[in-house]
Amino acid sequence: MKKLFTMILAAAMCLSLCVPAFATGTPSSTTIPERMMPNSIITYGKNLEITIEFDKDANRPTTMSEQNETPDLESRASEDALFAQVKEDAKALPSTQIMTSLPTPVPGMMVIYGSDGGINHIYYPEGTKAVMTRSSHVSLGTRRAAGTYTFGAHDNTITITNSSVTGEGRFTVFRAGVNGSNAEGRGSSGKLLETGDVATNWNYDNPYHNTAIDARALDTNIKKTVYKNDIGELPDAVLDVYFWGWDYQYFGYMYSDTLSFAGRYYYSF
Amino acid sequence: MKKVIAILLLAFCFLPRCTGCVKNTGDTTVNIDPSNYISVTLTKYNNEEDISDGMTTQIWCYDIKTEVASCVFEFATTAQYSLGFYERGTGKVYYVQRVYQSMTNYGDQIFVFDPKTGKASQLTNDFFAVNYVIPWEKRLYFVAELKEERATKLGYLDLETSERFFWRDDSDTLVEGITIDTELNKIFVIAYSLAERNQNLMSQTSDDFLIPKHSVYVLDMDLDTKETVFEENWWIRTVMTNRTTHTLDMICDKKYNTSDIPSTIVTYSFDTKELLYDTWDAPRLEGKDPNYSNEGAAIYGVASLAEQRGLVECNLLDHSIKLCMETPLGSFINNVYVVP
Repeated sequence: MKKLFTMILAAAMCLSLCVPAFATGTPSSTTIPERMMPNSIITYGKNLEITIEFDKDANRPTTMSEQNETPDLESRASEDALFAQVKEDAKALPSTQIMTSLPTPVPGMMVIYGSDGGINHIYYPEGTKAVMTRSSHVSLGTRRAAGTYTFGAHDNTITITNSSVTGEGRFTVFRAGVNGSNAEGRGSSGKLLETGDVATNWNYDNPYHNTAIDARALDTNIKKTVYKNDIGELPDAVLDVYFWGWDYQYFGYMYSDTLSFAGRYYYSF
Repeated sequence: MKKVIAILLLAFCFLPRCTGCVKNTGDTTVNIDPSNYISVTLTKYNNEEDISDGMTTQIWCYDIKTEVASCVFEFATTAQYSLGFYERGTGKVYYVQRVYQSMTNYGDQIFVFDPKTGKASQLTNDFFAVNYVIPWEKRLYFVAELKEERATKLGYLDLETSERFFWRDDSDTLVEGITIDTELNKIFVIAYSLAERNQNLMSQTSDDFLIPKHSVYVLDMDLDTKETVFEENWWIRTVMTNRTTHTLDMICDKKYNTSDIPSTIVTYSFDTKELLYDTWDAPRLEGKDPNYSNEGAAIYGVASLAEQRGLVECNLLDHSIKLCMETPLGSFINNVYVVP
């Protein structure tokens, strides 16, 4: 009896160590989980067999020489007020909760999960997914009709008024060549992407290329001007930040393919 | 610029009826005034109940004298950004659509529809994105990104020989905006250096980004640079030519994304070569489109008045502002071009 109790206790301890504090899904040949362990990468083989890896570059410690940014606290309060005002102005506008379903896995697909376990990217193997055409995303112009749009597992919010666009939620990251995607590193603008380029969510917000955007990482308070030069599906993010290098911080973080962080952005027109 | 006092006139009763588009049937025998109108590009859903059913771009002509707007052409929306230009004198429409060579080799190309023949012709094949198309005599001026290049370039296509010419054919100069004055025969260009922008992006630490120096150049119609009239580390959003006062007005923001702060108007006099600074205190005009009418009596652009977005007229004589073309329901005005 004592031995059985010890075994049960040992199993329970193991489970408590292995099971994260939040619920994660289990990948199967028919379902992509909405959440996984932080920094997971799952790939589907040719028979949809699943491989789970963890990003070895995630959570790298930062040395003093790699820290090159200064938190912006001075303008945080006024920026908070600006975002609050936009929310207030948007109360009179329609509010839409967008429900989308995740695609069915296909051979060669790779799904990258972020620092928080949410989906960063779903990469199709090259040549298996039709190029997204103009009609397959919904902006008539550079943005959807004025209103508030909430989407993704993390309730990302994009608010569009007659003078501005704000996005609050997750920022994710991307670089050229991951799983064969975007191997040349060219954004929707056609230009080779560089540090400072970002992709917006083409379902809601597609400003002209080279639009300057104010973006802030909320936990580090690093605020930067970035330029929109790409668009993407961003299933669970408001902004996707292009690779900045392996050796220094950007928005207060060292780059890894699975990085995600809380952020918000703003631009006016 | 001068202060425009915002006496808001919501002249809905004067709004033209903007209903469906009657395609250009090709009657160009009537003597049509090639000036004093605004070419308007707007996009609408084909089916508002099912927005995955595609979109249509319409090109409208707003006559400044009669204040009548009419749809002159429409086509399936495929380009990254809807863009077209109605050349009233000939009836031709220049427009942009995406062309695929393969799933990974595609770009937005310029087409022309000729009402005399009823046919459309493709004019370019190596562009990726197009920001401006402006015809003038036998030339088509454009601002575009070519495939595999970084900078947005200004150039023109000789419509008779198909030869192409560029201003500053380099990989560094990014053209932010242009205005062509076909009476003065001058092109005004806002541009900055991509290398400087990248340098400033890398050197920002937090909320201290320095806007790359924007310069305003005056070119002749052959794209030869004649002078630089203004430079500053500001976002110069648009340039407007006033033929009555012989001035060039540049609307500027000293920092990006500060639409709550009135823009600065920098006026350059062609006669005295002086610069004057003033404040724009009327409703903010969007983007790079605003410009003066022929007599300089009004400025036209896209703005929102009392939550209604559309083509607005800022009358400089009586200081009124009115919505002269409301955005039709279920559509979006993408851009406008004032043809003085």
